[in-house]
Amino acid sequence: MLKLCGGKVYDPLNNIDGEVRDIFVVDGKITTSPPDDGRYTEYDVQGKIIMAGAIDIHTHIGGGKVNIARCMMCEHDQNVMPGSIETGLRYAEMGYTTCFEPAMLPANARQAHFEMADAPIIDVGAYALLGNDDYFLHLLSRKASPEEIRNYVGWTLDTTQAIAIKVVNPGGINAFKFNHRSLDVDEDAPHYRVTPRAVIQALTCALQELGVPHPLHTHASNLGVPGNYTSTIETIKAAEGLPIHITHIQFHSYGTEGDRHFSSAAAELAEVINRNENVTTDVGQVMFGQTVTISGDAPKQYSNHRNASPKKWLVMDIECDAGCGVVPFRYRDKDFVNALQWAIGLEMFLMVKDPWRIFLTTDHPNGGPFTSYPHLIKMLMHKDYRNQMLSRINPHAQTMTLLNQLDREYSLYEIAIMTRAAPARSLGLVGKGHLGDGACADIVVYDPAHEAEQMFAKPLYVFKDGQLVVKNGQVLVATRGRTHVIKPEYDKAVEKSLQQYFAQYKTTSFENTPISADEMAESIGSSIVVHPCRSH
Amino acid sequence: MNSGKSFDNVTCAFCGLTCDDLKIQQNGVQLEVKGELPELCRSHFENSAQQHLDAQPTVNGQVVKFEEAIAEACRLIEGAQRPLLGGLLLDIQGSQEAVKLAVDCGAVVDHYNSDAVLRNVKVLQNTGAILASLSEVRVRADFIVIIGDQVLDNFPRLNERILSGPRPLAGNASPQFAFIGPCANNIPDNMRADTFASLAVEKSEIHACIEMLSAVAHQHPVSDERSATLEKIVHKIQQSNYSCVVWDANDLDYPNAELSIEVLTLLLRKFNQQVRCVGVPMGSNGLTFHNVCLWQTAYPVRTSFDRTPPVFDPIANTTAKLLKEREVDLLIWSAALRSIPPPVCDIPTIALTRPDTVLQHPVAVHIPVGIPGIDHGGHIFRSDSVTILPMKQLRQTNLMPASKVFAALREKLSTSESALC
Repeated sequence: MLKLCGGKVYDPLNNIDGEVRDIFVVDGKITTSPPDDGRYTEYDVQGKIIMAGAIDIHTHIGGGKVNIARCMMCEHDQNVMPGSIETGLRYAEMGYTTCFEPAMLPANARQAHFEMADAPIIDVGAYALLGNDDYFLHLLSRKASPEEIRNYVGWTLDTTQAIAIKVVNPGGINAFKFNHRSLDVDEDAPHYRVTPRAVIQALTCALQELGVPHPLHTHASNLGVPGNYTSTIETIKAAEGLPIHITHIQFHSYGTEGDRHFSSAAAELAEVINRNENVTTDVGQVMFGQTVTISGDAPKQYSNHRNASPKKWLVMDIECDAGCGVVPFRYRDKDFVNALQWAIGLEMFLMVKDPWRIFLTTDHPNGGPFTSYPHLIKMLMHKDYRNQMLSRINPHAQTMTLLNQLDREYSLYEIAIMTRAAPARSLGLVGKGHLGDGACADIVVYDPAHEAEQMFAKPLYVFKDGQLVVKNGQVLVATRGRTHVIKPEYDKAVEKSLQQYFAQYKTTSFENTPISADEMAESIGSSIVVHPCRSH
Repeated sequence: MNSGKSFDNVTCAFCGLTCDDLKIQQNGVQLEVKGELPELCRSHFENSAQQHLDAQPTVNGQVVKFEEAIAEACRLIEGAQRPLLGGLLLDIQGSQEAVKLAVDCGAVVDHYNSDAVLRNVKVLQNTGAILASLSEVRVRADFIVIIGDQVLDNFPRLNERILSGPRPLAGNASPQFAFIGPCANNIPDNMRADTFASLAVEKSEIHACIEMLSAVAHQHPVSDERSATLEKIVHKIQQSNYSCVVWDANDLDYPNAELSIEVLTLLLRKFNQQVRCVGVPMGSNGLTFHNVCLWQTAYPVRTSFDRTPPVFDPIANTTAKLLKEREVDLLIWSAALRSIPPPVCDIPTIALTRPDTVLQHPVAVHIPVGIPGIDHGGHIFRSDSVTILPMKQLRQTNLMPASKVFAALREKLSTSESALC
């Protein structure tokens, strides 16, 4: 039993903004009705900042392409792609207690779960990829009913132990296998003759009908292409008012203005997001330095291979599900394009008004490592510091960004929304992201005597399920986390058609494909926590 | 004695193809594979250690209780300056515990198949790759080039399950084939009619053939009696929708074979400027340990964990070299998937081997372990490192999984008062 005494609590899901209050923990849960005769281990946290454990809604931490990146980059000093063990420890040290792998290929689900289970302390979850798999595209091309599509989506969520569905370059990865090198939102994909718009419509409808809390997590068409902001807008429109999440929007916010034909369209996109409450987004902020880009978007990684630094790269077509591409990359502050990418991400943070609908990510490792989050938070909270960083970048890029005109500074409350409350609500995580009665006791205590970057980098205390796991930025004990999933109802009659598909297309058996709860707990080592679907 | 039970969808961990459609009938400790299957596939189950199933742990040849064997093994580990974990023919769970032990005690890890694994890894780290997983080959490959000697023999069902038959995404046509290397002397009957080209050369000439393929593709003049066939193959790739080039790094076992794979990789890049052409490197189940080591530590096989950061050295961290040059002083050998004994050496050896393994020299500690997918359940990677297959327990023995032995070692070491190096 714990008592955290006298801290300043920031708990947006319960409308608490810096109020001084005690927090009680009994049996790993926060309680507002603590037993009077309880013997508490007390922590004097007067003057300290208290938040719920942070939640990373989009970070590549488990699965085949992550492991390929580890192999490719292990000789580099910076070790840009850490192993699972270091991943869990570094996240916990920063006060992150739940992280989500956003691109789990169904055929590779076991590897994703094994890897995430080996990350100590943090709870995890994954989004299953659909929208480039041959089964789904065949359903669309033969105009299958919404019910058939819904059942397939439900089956996928269930058997891969996922919490959401992700689509990457809808139809585009599949098109690349037919030697089609790009695919616009209203362009017919080869062979199946369906458009990315149709893919998004079908998946957003299915998720809505299934009651899956998190919207279709969407990596839009034309990632990285100058002028792609129009594709992003069309992608949003494709949802036809249903919830949609546009991921790493920075990479999808490019115009073609200026003599370099590369400019920021963050203002246009921010306005679209501000006007359309069905849209959420995470930024995918670029941070300068060496990293490695890993993505299911094989064709876009292929087209980006000329920019590989160091000069090596991989693309792979995978199991009639999707593909992947791994391209090392160095973002340089003196490079016009990289510098403008950096500015665009910050513009997006500052121009999207509702902190409940924009989430803090670097699309780790694609924009930069997750260990750079404290630096990013400091830039969002302190305009002068941000402008100081701005003054160092490529001078031409400075003239192409609105950044120095943006005075907004995020408050602690808004940071708490963006990094805890909003991701928890978006994913439908009951008991996470807040410090109210019944919440998991994932609690972070920060020392405001430090400046923002240091404060967020090295919390005083991190509690996970009520157990002290980090003290003064050092891990004390490497516990094991759990995997958060969703289990919508679906008709298992879909299995009959899937059995035929497996027999014809796949090279592993249908029977061995589903991952059971027992397998998760006993073999993979991460018990599942099932969250409720939304009722209609 | 168990009454007989039949199992469907059994995963075979023998060759790396990890076929998971087997039907097995169990009678006591005997296993019978039902249906028509190649002999190698059948023998993995039917010949699996039927003797010595009640083998007990030993210390210096004397039978002891498990706890005593663990205690002695820990004493050796604590006294070692630089242990080597070798063999590592393990399933995922065994690999997880082995990696953790290696990190705990600052050991070097070298897998029995590291040479083959690293042939592809070196190219990935230097240049990259263009690949496809096996289902993609199955559904869309219209031209398949097989390079090597015994690729099809090393993966007995690769032909039947992956390479042959109508492709649903290629108009239901069957693919055409080309063979380069000694494999061209042994084209399977069902592939003959569809063989577009074949070039039977010695293994030592394979690299030259790959270089000539590249020269043709780059339109450099090539004057060689073999070049006409190779030109045909290049042009066929350029006209095909989805070509696949298949090799097995274990099979390309000549010196510096990674250079051949590198030239192939650059050639695939050249082709992909215009058409889709992918590599399909077949791999053994050595990839299981390699992938687990990567995901846990971010380092592959042949890494030394005795310093921070760890040191990956594909040359220095080779078992034979480390033993010969006395750069390690304790060998911890584990081989559960195949009955391969530890190499003869004069440093203390802790051996975790399946009961049918014949040790070649006296070892300090021997702990018999079960066969994954037979004596206990577990998981294993397929050769394309994409799918992990679950394996069932098919019979009841007293043999402990290697994962539990490693876990016991770690537990004992963590409670010991002695400091670890």
